[in-house]
Amino acid sequence: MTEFVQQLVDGLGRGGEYALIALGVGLIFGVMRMVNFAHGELITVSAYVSYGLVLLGANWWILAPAIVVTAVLTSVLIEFVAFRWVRSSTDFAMLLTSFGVHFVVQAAFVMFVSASSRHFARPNWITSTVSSGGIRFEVIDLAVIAATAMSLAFTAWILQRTVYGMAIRAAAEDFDTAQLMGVRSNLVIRAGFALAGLLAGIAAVFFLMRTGRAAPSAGLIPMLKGVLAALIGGLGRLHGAVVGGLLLGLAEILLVSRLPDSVDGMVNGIVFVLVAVLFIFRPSGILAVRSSHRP
Amino acid sequence: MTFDNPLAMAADPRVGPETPGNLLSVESVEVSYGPIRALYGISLSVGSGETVALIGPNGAGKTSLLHAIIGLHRPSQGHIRWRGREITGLLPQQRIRLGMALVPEHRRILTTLTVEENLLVAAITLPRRARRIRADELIERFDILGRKRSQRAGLLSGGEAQQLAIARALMACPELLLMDEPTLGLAPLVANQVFELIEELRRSGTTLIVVEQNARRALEFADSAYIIRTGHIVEHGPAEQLAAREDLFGSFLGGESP
Repeated sequence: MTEFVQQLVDGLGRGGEYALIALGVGLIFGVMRMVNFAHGELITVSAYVSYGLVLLGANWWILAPAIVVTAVLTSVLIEFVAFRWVRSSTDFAMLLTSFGVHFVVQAAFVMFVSASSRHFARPNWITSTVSSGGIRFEVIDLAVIAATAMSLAFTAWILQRTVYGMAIRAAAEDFDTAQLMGVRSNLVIRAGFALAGLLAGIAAVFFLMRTGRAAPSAGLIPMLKGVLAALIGGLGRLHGAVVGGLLLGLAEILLVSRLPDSVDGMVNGIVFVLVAVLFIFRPSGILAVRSSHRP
Repeated sequence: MTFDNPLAMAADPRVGPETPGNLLSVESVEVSYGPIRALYGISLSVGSGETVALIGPNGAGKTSLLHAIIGLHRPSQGHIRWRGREITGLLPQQRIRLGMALVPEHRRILTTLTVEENLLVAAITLPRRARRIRADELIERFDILGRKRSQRAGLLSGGEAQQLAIARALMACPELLLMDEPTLGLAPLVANQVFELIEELRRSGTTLIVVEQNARRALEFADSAYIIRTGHIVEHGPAEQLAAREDLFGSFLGGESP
């Protein structure tokens, strides 16, 4: 039981990061109808900014906000430089553009920095644990869970309570109608990218605290997990993305702890198979419901 | 420069010479969907406070014309002017800010938002403080919406959804309201309520362009009408005169029952 609770917290800690990335993927899908395969680049760019700042002597109190700001700016910049120009073309063109951005950013770091990883110091409390009732929790897991909860509450507040958040949801449901209501398309898309960047930035802080590594492909795995989590929850369903992320994190931790060490490397493969099985039974994800629209 | 000022309008180089006093002029507009032409050289003008009916059979191009006016379709040729100012290249969101609104075909309410949120999004063009006040005003006017204020709009009945679609279009106090088949799919009793609402809007001085399948009914409430068929305007004139011409109902309008 003790072990299970520990794994639960561990899984929620990991799942929280996926949820933040998945929510961003879902937001961008909502306003653009595009799965953004360049979303991981926000983490990659943040990783190199962190590496650069560490070289200049910065500590994590500076790195954490710098990572968040970098992710927001990068997200808005990518929209402005790349996606804005293909917005009215086909879904396929947008998808290709997102792959293009992914490879261009990766290539830029290979060419101008290095193909090999750069390491920087992780915070010294990263492996600390706290005990409560005989259960040991990793501090970072608790920090991720708290940060995820706060970020989700903030996102929910924006989307539910502010007219701009309502406009994002309106555009996600029916872009033409949102425009007919006076919603400025550029503004709502930029807001979607900025919010997605903020969430990815918060996830990146914890991801980089855990890895302490900048590499041209640093964002690839988190991006894939985020896209997968968004798909599990039902693409475009924002609370689905959160549920998908948490489930994915939990599934990974529970699998790793129950599988023999010799097949540890197959965890990702097993997770993908499980997700494939899920899609056979729920092709639109877990939280997809039939439209309640009455004609 | 404001376009409310007639002198400023006259000084604006984009002002057309032939359109004094008109709120909206459509001049020789052509719209195509790929190789298919939907509108051929359509021209019409609408004066402030006027109610104009667009009637014609299905597929005649009525919706295409409304979409060209609101900016959802860009004409391949021709001009659209608002108070004499060229607006052909403006986006829908810009035209909304000039004072137009569309109640779209099939209502297109946002089903995942609540009734109140539907109204608040439509108030995005208003100053922050005015948004809730205006939403409250319309909820008071459409009391059915008040009772379902926090309900998801997707759960509304057809008649309620139509009321929401109209209330939403009125949020930003438009001078010109375009309505696309506002009674389509509604029970006769509910349709009557919508017609009463149109009459009320007309009396309040809102300029209206209404696309309506029920031609006789449309000619009752409109000041003037345009009959559109296969992308051409085939007749236009004062509604009373057109209503008296029985030949039109047989040949162009398929003889709808009153």
